[in-house]
Amino acid sequence: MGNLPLLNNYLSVGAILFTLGLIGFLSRRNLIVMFLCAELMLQGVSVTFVGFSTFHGSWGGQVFTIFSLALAGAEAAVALALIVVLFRRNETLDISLWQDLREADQPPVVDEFDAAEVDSEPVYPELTRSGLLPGQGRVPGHDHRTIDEAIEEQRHEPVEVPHA
Amino acid sequence: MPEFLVTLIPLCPLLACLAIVVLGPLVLKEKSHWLTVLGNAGAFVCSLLALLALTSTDLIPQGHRTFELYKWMSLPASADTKALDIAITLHLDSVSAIMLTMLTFVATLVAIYASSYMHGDPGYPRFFACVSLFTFSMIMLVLSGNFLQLFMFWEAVGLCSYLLIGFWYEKPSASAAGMKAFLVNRVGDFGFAIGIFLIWTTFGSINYADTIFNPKLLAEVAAANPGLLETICLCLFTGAVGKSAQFPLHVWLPDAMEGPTPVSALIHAATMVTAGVYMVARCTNLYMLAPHAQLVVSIIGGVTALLAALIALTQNDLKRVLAYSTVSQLGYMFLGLGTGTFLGIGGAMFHLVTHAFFKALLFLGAGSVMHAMGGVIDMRHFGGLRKLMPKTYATFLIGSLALAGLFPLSGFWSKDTILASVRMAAHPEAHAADSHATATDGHDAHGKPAEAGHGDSHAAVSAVDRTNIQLFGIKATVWYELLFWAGSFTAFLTAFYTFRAVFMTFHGAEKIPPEAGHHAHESPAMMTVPLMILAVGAAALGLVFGHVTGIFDGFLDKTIHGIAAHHPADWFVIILSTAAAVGGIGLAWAMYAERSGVPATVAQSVLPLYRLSLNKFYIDELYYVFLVVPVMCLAQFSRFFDWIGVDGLVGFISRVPGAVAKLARPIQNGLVQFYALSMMLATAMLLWALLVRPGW
Amino acid sequence: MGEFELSLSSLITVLLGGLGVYLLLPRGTNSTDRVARLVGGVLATIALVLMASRFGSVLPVKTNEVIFYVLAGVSVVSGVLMITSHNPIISALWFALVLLSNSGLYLLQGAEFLSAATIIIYAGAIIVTFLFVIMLAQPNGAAPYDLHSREPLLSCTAGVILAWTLLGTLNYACTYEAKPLAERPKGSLLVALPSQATVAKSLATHPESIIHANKPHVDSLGRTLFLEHYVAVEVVGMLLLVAVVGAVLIVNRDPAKLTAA
Repeated sequence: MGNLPLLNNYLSVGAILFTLGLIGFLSRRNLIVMFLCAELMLQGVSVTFVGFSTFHGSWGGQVFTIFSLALAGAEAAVALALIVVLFRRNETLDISLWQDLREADQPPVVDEFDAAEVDSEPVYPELTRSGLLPGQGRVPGHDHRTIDEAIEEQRHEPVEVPHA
Repeated sequence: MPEFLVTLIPLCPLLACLAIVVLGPLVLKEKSHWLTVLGNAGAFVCSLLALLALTSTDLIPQGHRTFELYKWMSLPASADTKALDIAITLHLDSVSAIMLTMLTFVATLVAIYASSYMHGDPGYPRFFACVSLFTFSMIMLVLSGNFLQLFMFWEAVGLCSYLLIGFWYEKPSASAAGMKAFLVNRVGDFGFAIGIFLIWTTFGSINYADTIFNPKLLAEVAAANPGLLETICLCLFTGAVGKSAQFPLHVWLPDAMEGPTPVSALIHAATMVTAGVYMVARCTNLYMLAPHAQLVVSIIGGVTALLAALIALTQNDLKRVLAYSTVSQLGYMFLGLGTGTFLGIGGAMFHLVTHAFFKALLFLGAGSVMHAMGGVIDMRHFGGLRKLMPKTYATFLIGSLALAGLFPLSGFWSKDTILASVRMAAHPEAHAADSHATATDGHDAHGKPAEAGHGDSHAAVSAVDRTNIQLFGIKATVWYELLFWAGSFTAFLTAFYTFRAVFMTFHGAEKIPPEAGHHAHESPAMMTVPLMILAVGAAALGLVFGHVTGIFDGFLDKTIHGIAAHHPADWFVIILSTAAAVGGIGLAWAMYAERSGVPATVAQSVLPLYRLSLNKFYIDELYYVFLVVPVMCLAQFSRFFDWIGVDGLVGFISRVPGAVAKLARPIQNGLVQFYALSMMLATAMLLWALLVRPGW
Repeated sequence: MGEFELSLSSLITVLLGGLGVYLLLPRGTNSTDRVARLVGGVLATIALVLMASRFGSVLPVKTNEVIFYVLAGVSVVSGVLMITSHNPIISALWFALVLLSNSGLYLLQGAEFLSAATIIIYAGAIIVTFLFVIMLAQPNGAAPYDLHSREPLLSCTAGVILAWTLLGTLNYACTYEAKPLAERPKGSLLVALPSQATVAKSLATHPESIIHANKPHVDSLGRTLFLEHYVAVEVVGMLLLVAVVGAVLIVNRDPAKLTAA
């Protein structure tokens, strides 16, 4: 009927995908990513189903996968709606904020971030200026300074917003 | 007709009680007393009619009648038990008829009195419901035709007593007194119950008709096993000791004065405490066959009479004096009952009736004084009230004279009879010829023909030879001689302490405590009219029904055959007791009529004795040391055992799941990922257990 | 293939993969982490190759074999990158790649309809919705919670245990799948696993469920769905409706009111 080693290959792929999804679900903090990981687990299961379907020559596995597709759609609709609502409340997607359903006397799990690292602005590369800053347009003919002089001057002057 | 009538006697107060319980708090309120008064009065009228019916030989020819109301239980005999047939019956004979008439009469007057005395009390309907319930219970006790019913209502009156002593239950001393009465009575009731069990095992029945009214059977048992009858009598007497407050279980009665005064008058003087006397009199046929038990009854009675009188000498509380006097007078009754002579039994029953009148009178009078003095009852705080409360004074004086036993008031006749009977028991040989002679003469001194050929009980009683009875190696006659002198001395003491109270309360300079306020005036008619009626009874009862006419004895003879037999007047006793009464009154006059230093000087000169009397012979303290303290120690031990042992074990068991849960609780940390991890690990474990390593 | 393998070699493979994923998981933006990610990538690749080497040459057509290896490799690698990415948008894109390769795997097994449905519904609809939401609900710049994974070591250990168990079980199941009940090991739940014979017997009573290679594919699948599983189809349809209504209701609530409540 079916090819047993072939089935084993597909099942292995399904198992690996499932495990990856699990690891992601366990370790990531972002609600959306966690949800994606759950979908990845679902994909692992789908691969397994299709593998069995082919192996047994039965539509059952594929039908099951179709249902799981529909289920994923329904799940995505509700879960994403919830995520939007939750994000509106706290402006964050951190799962740690929603651990209120713990035992009354249990302390909440507190994540230990390096605060400095978290708050630091992204560092952008600094290049040599190639010209005047935009928004400070001057008529070229009326300015006799060199570009470097203008830049130096500009560094010491507060930026003025021209009147309309 | 008689059945309906007799059924009506307990029914009236019962209906009154139920109606007050249902309607009292909301509808009747301050009118609750009407139902009680009507119920008691109805019961009294019916009792009186039943009494009259008994006197006529046409209506009740055999002199007693038993009505079965309802078959309670009927257990057939089996291999190792006897048959048990118990019915709720109403047994009417002359003893119960006398008790009923006296009881309902006093109860009616007390209810009328209480309607004024208790006016304005928040528990007004409750009080009258309890009084009605008490009247019902006492009537059923008196009318019962078997020992179980007797015991049942014996307990019921105890309950009513408890309810009424603790009527002001917010007062700690009152509720404690109620508890004390209940507990002390339990001791006596225990013996009483054992006595009833013994009756059942001995006779195979607990109906009166098969036991105490069956002289033939009694004689058989007495012949076969006299010790058993003695035991039964002593056990039953234990109950009487508890209920009638005899030494050493008398301690509850003085404390029972915490209840409202009408209760003291009704229950703790006139009716309930006489239940023990009634029971012993009821079982006369039984006691006549148990001379040792009778001697014990007499000794307990005599000791109680003397002891209580000695204590009453120094009490300063008017009600307390009267309470000890009650204990003392009940002792007299038992003294008479234990002599084993019909003179004594008749005297005890007569004393019961007269005492009910004059003691109820005295208590109600004390209540009247207390009412006027704003609740103060300590005699040292008031005095010279005779002008302020003339009616109370006059009636109280009559009651006191009757109690002191002065001719021709009722107390004289009954107390004299008892003393004469004790003397008769002390000198049986002197009187044997007399009574024998009168029996053959066929008539007595009062011109009433002696009823010859009484029942078999007479013969059975005569069969017991009393001359060789001994207790603690002392002959019975010696005991009775001692008791006679103790009784005579008690008569002297009675007169003394009664008039000490009278003089301290009503004579001397007028003195009113500040608590009295505007109350210090004569009590209203609702209170004084019952006093006057009782005063008439206390004064005239002895003369009308006593030995002069022989009506009482003649009536009682219908049940206790032999009482009406003629006894010549014992002039020695008459002179002695009158001298004692007069001497006592005179001494009291000398010491207390004018407030002087004499009592204090006397007290100083015999200080140890004075202290002994003032502290009631330290009996309560002895109980405390020898009974209460060990029980408390046991209770403390039990408490600690319960606390550490039982509670500790239970607490430990209950803490085990908690401790286990404490280990498991961190799992529930609210973090979704942690739950997912648990699920995953559990799945992996399942896979391992089921698939990979089966058999692990 | 052969005996039940919960072998050391598979354990090493799985451990290597787990270690690789552990190192790849985000743990801040330091340079050391970049090195760690590099090492992790190398380890994961080695594990992948080891894994592939275990499969052996089993497919009848060489082209198909190559296609399978490519698709499976892409799927697994994309999965790893998806769970280790710092940015949810990138995660979603990697997941789209997983879906694409999976649909290729379905196609390889003759599941044409499913392959198309996965691309259309998953990649086309669900992932796009995801991206919308991510963009709606993503704060500016990299969020701290995206840069730090929670307990990566514990998660990876758990993953290793599960993967090892699953792979071992699969091997075991495949070994005994063809064998009759009597030859299966005593005491194991595998005794109760359906053999091919029982599956065939069950298929005989449900003729619509049998795949016939020569019949039109969608026609046959549709018959199965609406003849054998019509109740389930109705239930799933109802579920979708309820989910849509619920989602609309949830999102349309006033957040201020929600906070007040």
